[in-house]
Amino acid sequence: MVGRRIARRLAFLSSAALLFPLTPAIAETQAERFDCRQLAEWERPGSPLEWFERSLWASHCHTFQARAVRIGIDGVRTLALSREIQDGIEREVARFLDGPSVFFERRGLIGRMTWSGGDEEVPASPAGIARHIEQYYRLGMGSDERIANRSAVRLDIEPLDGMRFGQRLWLDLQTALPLKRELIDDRGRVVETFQLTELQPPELHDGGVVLDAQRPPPEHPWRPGWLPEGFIDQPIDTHDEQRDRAIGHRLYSDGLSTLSLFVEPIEEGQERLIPGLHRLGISLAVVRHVVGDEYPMQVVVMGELPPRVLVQVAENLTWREVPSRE
Amino acid sequence: MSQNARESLSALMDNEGDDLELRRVLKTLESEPDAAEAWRRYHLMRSLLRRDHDIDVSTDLSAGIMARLDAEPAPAIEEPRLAPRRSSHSLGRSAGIAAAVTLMVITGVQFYQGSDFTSTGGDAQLADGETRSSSTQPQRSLAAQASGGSQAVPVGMPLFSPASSGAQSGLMPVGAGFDSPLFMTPNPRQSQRNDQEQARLLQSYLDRHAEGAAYGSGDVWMPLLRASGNETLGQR
Repeated sequence: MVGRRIARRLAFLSSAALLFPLTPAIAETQAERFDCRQLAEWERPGSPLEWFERSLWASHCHTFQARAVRIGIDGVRTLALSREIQDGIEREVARFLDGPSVFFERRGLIGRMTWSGGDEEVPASPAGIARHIEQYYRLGMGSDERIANRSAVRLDIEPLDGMRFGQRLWLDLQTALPLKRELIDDRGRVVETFQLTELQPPELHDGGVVLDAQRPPPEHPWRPGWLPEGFIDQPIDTHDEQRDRAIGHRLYSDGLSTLSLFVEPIEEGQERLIPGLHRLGISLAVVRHVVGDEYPMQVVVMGELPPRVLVQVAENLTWREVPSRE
Repeated sequence: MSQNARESLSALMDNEGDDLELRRVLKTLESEPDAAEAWRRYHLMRSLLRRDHDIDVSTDLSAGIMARLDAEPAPAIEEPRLAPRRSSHSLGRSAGIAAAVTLMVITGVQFYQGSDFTSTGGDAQLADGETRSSSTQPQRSLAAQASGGSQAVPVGMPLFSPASSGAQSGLMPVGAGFDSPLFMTPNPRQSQRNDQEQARLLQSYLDRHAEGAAYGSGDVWMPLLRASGNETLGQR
């Protein structure tokens, strides 16, 4: 049922593509777009899973200004947030209102569930995630609450195994935008909280948001020999902006939890991480130095997951028999 | 906790115990929780006195150390001329053991608090240090540390042994054991500098992980705020 609904929604995409001026990077591929205006016509969600999926679409399609707090391992920080959509590209900006004046900026679009392997259509991530997470998490509805002076419904998302963290989500009753999110570790402790404290009335974007192109996966001489169940290869391509180094990066996600795998050659005179388990904020990283592909390599597995999961991924990296080096 | 155990503990703390003493203490730690507490407290006090802020003893590592001791070959019978138990020889050995204990504590888990490693000029200078050959690097300005913000605080956590088997998949660990003298430097400032470099390097991976997580996890704000962000020049 979900699949049919999504297919209908995506039918709006290509027609919207010509209505908006495209950024140069996007224009080359005649990007598909998701028409946000249809959200206004959708019925109110019923089940927890429908609420969850709606929140993913709503997060892509609304623009707003807000104040928020983040409560993490380093204490409480207050933030000013803004979200806008320009030419189909989402732009999020967050700025700390206390401590050093640090700001965070991101430009994004609606992602795909995974790389494209051929002719098969890869679903947009909001639809794909909603279908996927049900296999690995139990979703339940909590009592209604008030967050940021708005009525909210609470979603409890519990992992079905010990391989991932859970979440509690408070969604705006009116728009399904997430107003509050708690990340809960495998021992049931809240390790990170993000909560809006004041939300200027959000607006539904009057147009389309670009949907990521379907791309084939890049080639690496390595691959994870083990991953927690349900973790799918994400079609992302990140770069190290600080250092000009070739570090292979793959990211795997079950829709809620993610882990990154970085593999790079160890070269003399270049800084490297000390093997072992590192923690930065709530993120953990397992570092190993191994010989793979006949070269010493540094393997970094990073994520917000139980440490043994990261260790197991790091210990089971497999190398291709015949490496193809450029 | 018995008086004997207390004395053994004290001797070890003063680098006067030998490995038999260490085994005895570790045995005691297994059976008496308050002894383990005392061990941690003594270390904490010593660390505070020495201002070793980067050594944390909040976690019980005794099990891991005991396993490691058990795995070692039994010591050969000493030559008769080494009869006195607390000779200068045993002092040297026990110092080595103490160093090994400390090394295990700080290579357990590296814990870096905060994510304020912003790309300011001072930070960029600090970031190019080579962790393992710091002697070849000129001493960098510690301005970034002095400016506050992130203090790298390693905590012990014996759940992961980087020296664990790498035989699977044809991979061999390189220099990944506890034997690698990574943190043997006695200078707390030096050690802190290494921690800062490690934290900064780790943050560069976290930035990329956060970017990817914002794409694939259905949430933008939490991953975005784990990245390092940028220092604003004036008000926006």
